[in-house]
Amino acid sequence: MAPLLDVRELSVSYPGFSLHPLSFSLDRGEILAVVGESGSGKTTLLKGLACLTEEGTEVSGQVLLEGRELLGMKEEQRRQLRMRSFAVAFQNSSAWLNPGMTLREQLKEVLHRGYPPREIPGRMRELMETVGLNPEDLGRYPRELSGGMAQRFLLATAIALEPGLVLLDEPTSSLDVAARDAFAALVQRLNREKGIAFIIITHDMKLAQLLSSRIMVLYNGHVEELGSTGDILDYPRHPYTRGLINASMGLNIVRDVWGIRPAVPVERGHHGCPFYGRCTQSLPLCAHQAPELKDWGDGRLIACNRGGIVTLLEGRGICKSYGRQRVLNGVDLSIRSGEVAALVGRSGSGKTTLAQILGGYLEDYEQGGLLFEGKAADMDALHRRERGVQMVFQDSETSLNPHMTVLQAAAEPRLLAKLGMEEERARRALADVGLPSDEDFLKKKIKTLSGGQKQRLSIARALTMAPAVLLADEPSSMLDPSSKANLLRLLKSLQNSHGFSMLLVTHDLESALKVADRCYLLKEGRLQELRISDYVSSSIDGVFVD
Amino acid sequence: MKKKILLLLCSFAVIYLVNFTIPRLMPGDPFDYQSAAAGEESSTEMTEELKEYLRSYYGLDKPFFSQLWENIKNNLRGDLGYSIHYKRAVSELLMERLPWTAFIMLGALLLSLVLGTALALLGLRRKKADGCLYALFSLLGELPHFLAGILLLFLVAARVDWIPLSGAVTAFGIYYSEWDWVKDVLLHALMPLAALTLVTVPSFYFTARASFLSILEKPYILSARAKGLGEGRIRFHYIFRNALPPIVARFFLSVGSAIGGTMLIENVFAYPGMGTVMREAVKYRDYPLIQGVFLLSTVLVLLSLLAADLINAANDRRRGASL
Repeated sequence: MAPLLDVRELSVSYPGFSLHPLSFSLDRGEILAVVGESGSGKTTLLKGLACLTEEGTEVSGQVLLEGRELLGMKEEQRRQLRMRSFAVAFQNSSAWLNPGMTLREQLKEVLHRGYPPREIPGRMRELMETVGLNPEDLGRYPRELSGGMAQRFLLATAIALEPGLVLLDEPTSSLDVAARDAFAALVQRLNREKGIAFIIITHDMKLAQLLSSRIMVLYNGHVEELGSTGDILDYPRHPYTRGLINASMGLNIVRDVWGIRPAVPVERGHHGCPFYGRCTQSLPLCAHQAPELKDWGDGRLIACNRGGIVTLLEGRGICKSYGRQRVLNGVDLSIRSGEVAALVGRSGSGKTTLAQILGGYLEDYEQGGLLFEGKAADMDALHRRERGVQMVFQDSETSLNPHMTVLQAAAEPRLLAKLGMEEERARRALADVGLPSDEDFLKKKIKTLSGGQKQRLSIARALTMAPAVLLADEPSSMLDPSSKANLLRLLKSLQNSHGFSMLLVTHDLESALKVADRCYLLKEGRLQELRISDYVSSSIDGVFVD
Repeated sequence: MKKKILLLLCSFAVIYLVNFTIPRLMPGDPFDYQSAAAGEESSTEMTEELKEYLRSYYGLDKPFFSQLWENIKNNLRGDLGYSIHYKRAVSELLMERLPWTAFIMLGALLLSLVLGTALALLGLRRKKADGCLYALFSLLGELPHFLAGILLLFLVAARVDWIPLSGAVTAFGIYYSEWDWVKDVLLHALMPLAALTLVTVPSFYFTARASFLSILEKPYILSARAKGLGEGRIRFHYIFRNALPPIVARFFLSVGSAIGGTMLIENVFAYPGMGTVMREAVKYRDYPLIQGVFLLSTVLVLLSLLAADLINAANDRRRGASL
């Protein structure tokens, strides 16, 4: 059967913004969520689809609704289809309603187009009840509505003539969680009972999760990822999608939420990847070549020159015994670009052993191997190059030479790597970790520093190498609660702004849940990935419900 | 709103005092200018005794504050006093003249409202016309009323035979039907109306234009299009109706300058409204008449300001909740 809506190479551009050609189709009764940050082009897409663009906007491509092409039609003809075949409900604000007319008049003028006058009052009552409003509210003016009521009324108007497709623009952006959930339930009901298909424009990933069967991710006018909702939320494959998910309060109830880093100032060619400046895994190529949206297998469409988020460091089938005790028994672990993974386990479970193997500091394991970006890893080389692998050891007391000065210690990694003495870089790294970088401090001996300062210095040493992967073995175990919180937030913020990947090795499950995007549990020599949501749940749903 | 009303009352009190004081500050008094024949320059000198007698007759020999008190008491009773120059009750005189002034003023304001709004609507669809009108009205808006009158008088009325130069009706005219009279009145009003309209149209045009442009930006206009409503329905129910309140408020706000303008223009065309009577009153230091004219215009202006405020407040309330 032909799809309800078939969008082919739709492109909308006006001075200062363009929505690049995009294609997708929507089946009858399907719900598609279009997500992205502000300015990603979501509303432009909606206006393009609904043929409601302003003057001076160029629209090209085709929008086929039930086989009829909308863009080429005269507005006169299209008007006949409005509300009957497709309808739009804008953001939940009464600003979208005529302030000089009562709700009754506004609903009536739509119903007039599809119903004989004597059926209109009954139909109005029915619609109001469907969306959960009191028919008596019809006598009200828009100014007398709350945001939630306005949203419901806009939806009532949109479904008045029973269109097959309803476009919703940011339907819940100013609603509280209870109102949002109620609205989502209403949309689900309309979808189920009346078979109405919805396109939901939203920046609320939680709403997308609640409603949609597919998600389309827009960034700066480009589609970055398109796939089924479950797959995308469980396993985002575009760095931008993952960033959106990680930034969602609704999807991360316990986790410390971080936004996608702002673009670092980079030279991006006119045709480069739009996400280049914010991406954590960009290649020089990305500056000049915008990726095509294509299927990288399993039906997921991704626009990334690297085929989506890459796996940086991977351990395969690692086995290690101490004497007769098998500590690691065929462990597979991977660290993807731009993520914080946590390796948790009880004390003595072999975490440090695994971390040292992954870091290349323990090479006499019996079986298995290490891969870096898909190739067999030469760990020595990776230690000595930028965008390689660095490790912060558990015990900074012993991993730093107490007789060195701060400057010597901070500059040492690059000296050892034969990258030269770069005082400026050392200072910057010290500033990044929140240590002073003035002459007095640089000349201080390591042994005069406090425990927290030494820990920060260790991190600064790793940062001077601009690592792609940072392994941090119990970085906060020696610290008091406040210093621990500061350090974890520091690590997370460095990871967020520098874009490296981090494996946080810790027995402190609570800390791991706060900062980690993914969590591995090491238990009796075996590794399993924990789905955090299986263990942590919240029950805030009822808080706002009357 | 209470504050607004209080403010208007205070303004009224201040203006009332000024009205009372200013004429008395002018050099001379009514009797220095008193003439034998009304309307002619004085040639007969009155004796000092006669002047003294008349001053005490009209109570003008009393101290300032007792005159003021007397005046307030009379005004509260609805008595505006007795014109020294015309030798008639001021209220009677004003009632006779007010209709002419009101006719010119309201006529010009209504004309300006309709014209200004219509031209603004036209400008919405024709950018070029809008540009021309904008420039033209920016100039016209700065034109003084009397100058508009004089220009029309010299450039149009003086050159076109059938346009009368002065008065409100033909002197000693004989009318065969009511319609004849109406025609005559309209013809005489043509120039004063045109002069005042010329100067008032720009403010209506600018108000209407700004109002329409702001309404076109409103989200609900997009909703109306999304609803597939007819163009006519969108224009009337969505754009015009919502753009109207500021334009109507502009009508009442314009009453102040229009009253002043009418009075000046009346003098250019010797139109028998309050303007000509005021000129006479000032010339002859006819204190009660000057006060009467100003009192009436003050009340009219303040009431229209109040009306404008009420309209704006109602409109803000309407929008307020939709923010």
